[in-house]
Amino acid sequence: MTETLRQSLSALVDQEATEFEARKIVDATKTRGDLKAYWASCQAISSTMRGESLLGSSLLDRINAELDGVAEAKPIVDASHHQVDPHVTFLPAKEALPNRFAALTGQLAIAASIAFAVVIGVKVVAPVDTQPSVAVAEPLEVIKFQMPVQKETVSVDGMTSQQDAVERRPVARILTEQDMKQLVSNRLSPYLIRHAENTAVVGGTSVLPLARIMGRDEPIE
Amino acid sequence: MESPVQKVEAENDQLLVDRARLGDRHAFDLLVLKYQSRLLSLVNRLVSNQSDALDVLQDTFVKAYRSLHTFRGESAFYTWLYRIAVNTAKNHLASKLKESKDVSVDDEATGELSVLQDLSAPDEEAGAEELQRAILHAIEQLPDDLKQALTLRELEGMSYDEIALAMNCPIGTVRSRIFRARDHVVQEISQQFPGTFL
Repeated sequence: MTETLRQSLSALVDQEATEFEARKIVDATKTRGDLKAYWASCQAISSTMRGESLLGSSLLDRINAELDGVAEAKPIVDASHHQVDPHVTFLPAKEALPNRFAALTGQLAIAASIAFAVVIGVKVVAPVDTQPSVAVAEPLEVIKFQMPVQKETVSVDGMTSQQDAVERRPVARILTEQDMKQLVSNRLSPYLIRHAENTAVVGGTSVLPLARIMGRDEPIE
Repeated sequence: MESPVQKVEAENDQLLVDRARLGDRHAFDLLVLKYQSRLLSLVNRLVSNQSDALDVLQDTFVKAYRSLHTFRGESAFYTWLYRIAVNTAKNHLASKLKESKDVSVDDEATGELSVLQDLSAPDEEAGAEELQRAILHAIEQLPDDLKQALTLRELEGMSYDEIALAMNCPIGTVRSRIFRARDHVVQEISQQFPGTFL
């Protein structure tokens, strides 16, 4: 441990370190046990000078053991069986290796599950190769609906959702071009109607997306 | 009103709390090492029993760690810890009394006495006292300027600015003197009690 680091730590004990120094020390304690021990010793000096009781690392070990979930049941009732640490030591608390290993294994398992879920999710959500014909075969013609369609026309050709569903299922297999156009048109029209209604209510600016669709449908010559 | 030193201390504690909330146990260790002695003095007055005090202290810090998300920083971290410690000590005393009564209903007085009886660990106490004596001796051996700077800081609670004024020297010198004083004590203790500090 460098003298500069020790001096920064001493200043941190006195609340006189800069924010940069404080963060540097806190970061360094993750990897440097001696830094924590030096911190403990500085605190012990302060406690001694103020006449407070000194505590070794035994308490820290007990706390860490309990937080790690490996603590033994505390002998609260029978104090005579209380195990006493004979030494007062200020060594940094050691983390139990099995727990660290278990934690690492758990983290790896979680990471693997997430990766698996992402891969599966991508395949399900974006099946690139499974239905190529629909997307490719219907480029712009699909949008060839009569855009500002009359409300009564579209409200939905008297088709119920059940009918829609019944019709849609076989289409996945038959897939004639006409059917596809009809399906897409049926599917999109209500949305566009709703959009047109909404734009009428909201104001002139929101007509713009509609205008773009119109423009694509009937290009200016 | 919060002094500048208290404000910085609150910020430093908050930094450690934030790190600990993110699962950095080393940051929480620093908080434990910082406050354990102060809390022990408090808990010792409440339970009058060293081994019980250690149990209460352990429970206090474990509860604190598990409740870090509730610490809003509206009060000092030590104040927050203090409240947890007092409540834990009260609960501990209540459960001890209940257990004592359950064990021997006839001998109620003995049950209450056992709570108040000092069952402290003599070995550990002796070791701590020996260590304290060695620390005080090492401080006594310090050169005057180092000893004065450290004493003004630790006992008078002066800031580096105030010590610089009192000792008529630059603030950087104060910082350096206090560091050298501590460093010297740590080296001395490390020689007398190998493995105690470093």
